[in-house]
Amino acid sequence: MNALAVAAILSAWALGLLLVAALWPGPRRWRDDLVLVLPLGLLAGFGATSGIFFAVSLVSGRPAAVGASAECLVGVVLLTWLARRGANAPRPVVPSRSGSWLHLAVGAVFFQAVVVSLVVAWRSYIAEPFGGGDAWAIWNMHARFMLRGGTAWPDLLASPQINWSHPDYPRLVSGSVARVWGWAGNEAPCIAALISALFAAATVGVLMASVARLRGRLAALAGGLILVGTPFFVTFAANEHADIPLAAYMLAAVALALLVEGSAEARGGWALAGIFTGLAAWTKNEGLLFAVVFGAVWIGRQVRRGGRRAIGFLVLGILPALLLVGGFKLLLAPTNDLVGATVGSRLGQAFDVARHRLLLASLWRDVRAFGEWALIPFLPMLLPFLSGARVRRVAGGRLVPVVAALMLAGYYGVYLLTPMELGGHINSSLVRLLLQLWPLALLAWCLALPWTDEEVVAPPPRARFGGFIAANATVAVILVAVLSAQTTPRDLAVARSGLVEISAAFGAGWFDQERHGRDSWAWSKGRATLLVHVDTQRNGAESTLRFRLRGLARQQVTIRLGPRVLWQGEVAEKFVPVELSRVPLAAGTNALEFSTDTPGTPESTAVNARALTFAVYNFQLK
Amino acid sequence: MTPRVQRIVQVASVVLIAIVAVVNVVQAVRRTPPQPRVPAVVTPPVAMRQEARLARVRDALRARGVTSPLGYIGDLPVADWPADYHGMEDYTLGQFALAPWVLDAHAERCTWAVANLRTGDPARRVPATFRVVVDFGGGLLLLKKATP
Repeated sequence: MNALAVAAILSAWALGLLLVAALWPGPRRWRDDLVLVLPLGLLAGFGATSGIFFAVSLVSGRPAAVGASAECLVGVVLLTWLARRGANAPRPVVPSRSGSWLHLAVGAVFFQAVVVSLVVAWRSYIAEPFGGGDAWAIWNMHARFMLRGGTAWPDLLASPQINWSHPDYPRLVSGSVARVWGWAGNEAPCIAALISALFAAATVGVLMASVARLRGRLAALAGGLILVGTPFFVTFAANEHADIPLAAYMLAAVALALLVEGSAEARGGWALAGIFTGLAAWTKNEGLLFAVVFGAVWIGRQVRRGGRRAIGFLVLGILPALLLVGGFKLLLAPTNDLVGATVGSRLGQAFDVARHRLLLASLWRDVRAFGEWALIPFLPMLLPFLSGARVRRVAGGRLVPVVAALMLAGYYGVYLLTPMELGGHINSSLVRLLLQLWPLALLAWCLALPWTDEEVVAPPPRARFGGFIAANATVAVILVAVLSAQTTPRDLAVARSGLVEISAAFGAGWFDQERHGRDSWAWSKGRATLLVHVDTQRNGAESTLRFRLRGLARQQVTIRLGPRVLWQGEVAEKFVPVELSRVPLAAGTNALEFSTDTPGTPESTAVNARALTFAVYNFQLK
Repeated sequence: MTPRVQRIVQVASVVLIAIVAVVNVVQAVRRTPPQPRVPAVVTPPVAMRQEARLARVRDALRARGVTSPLGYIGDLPVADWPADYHGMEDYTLGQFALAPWVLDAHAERCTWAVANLRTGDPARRVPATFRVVVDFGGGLLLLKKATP
């Protein structure tokens, strides 16, 4: 990650912000809805710049540089449009809101949940910098071909030898990653992970900001808490797949359509909804299904209400991305593996009872488990409806669950007719499909909540926002410090002093570490190393090492650090305390060599009994 | 329910949702432990290991003007892949590392090939029609079909 990579991401975001701001539906100004405009801008920016990069990469061997020029041009046009629009825009009165104790309390919990989720996402990235299987087999793979393959990349990716990498998949995510790699001049995996995480953050942002506008801040906080409290969503956030980006675009399209429902100044809003619908299709093949489903549902609604103008602007918004997808599918991409095999011959599968049984059983299993929850949130989500309260419905809100249900039905149909082995196909994909629909389902839930801010809490005293921020920042710092200090079972001991951290772990030559109560130990196979790592900017550090030694038979044990003998003594069945005082350690990893003069003693008469020499107990660092 | 009771139910449900979210966030923390402190005991993920191992091959391919397709010979023959996912995984990661060269799992169809053998015996895995052009060590070979 370097400054150019950051510039690439920020420039995409800026372009997206200009686009969203230029089309923002009145009467509110886009500045008054910044909380929603920011995540929408990120989504629009990645979508637009990935499309530009894709198009340029077909004709230029330097798509990042040439694409940047095109982006500047588009940016200038949007800026001019926005400036003209802004000069004429009326300034509506936006009601100010104060927080209640409940808002602050739930807001604090949400804030800390986000902080912890960031740590979790970081750890997920560190464990797999190139992401999960589909990340390096599909999305990042395609990005590499787009960047490394010059203008010949479409033919290379279409090679029959690698049709397992699904080269027919749309290119929004791959194009975004390749573009930033191109700007950065390197293919750092953290770039792909950061883009992935930004999509996840935008999903949370769009959900909460749109619900706050439509239903109130308390409902927004509840929805945000459930989404951030979905472990699978958080651990998958930096996994460099395209499922969360797709979820984000579907959510953005539907949220915008709801926000402009019934508004007289909605042209730009409808166009934006269309843009995000098209970008969903540019993200994954499931997005094409969404474009059909959402288009049909919303156009049907507008036809009933006589909203031909709305239909026109929605279609206008969808068109650019749909042309991109259409051109890609028809001219460059090989046939998709699911539709490539003759559909007619598989229609009979729709009447196979065993397939329906397997599908329904898998749905029942995965709907309850896809979130990887410790506590499934569905029951708490039902509680608000027990109050019997009624609030005004959000116009068009009832169609959100219809869209989600139709998407699920579409997925069901694809599984039913799949040419692949059904069990394997379900197990490799269903949880991710459910994750795609989860934000949309949460939007539907939030809109159905029988709350508004004014109804749940009595008129509040003005809360001290500054104190709220300061207190939460302090707690967040403490949380991050605690999580950073967390050790793993492989960490024998950790000691910190100022900026120096010293840690120890068993190296080679030991059997598996064992524990009982507060004791931990490992038996040596004879010659073994214990690694002591000094993490410091200085040349090294000193540390005192304390532990106990014990052996199955009487033996001489020697501990060396390089050529220097740190300790030598007799070890038998009785514990021998050892203290190595102020051992000078170099920065980096130091290997303490343990050796004995006696071969191992079998621990039992069993055939595969371990031959044990000596054991190190309860290792400590000071 | 009276408005007061409704309000109590609504507040209680918000609080319960917050508690459930906290429990689940803790669950997420438990599912993602940190990496061990001592770098030497951290096993890099398989994608990183393959990436590091095949990095030298790309320079050799570029220097010799090798074009696609490029044969790929892993430890497991293609016929064994359905029974052992490691075979496909090794090949897929090899493709990821060596993009934009297109790897062909049926190396005998190609003029050039890469043999990535950690455990496989080169004498048994490399077809007789290929000769070694570069031996990178550790079972990593760049091969070319010997001209008759």
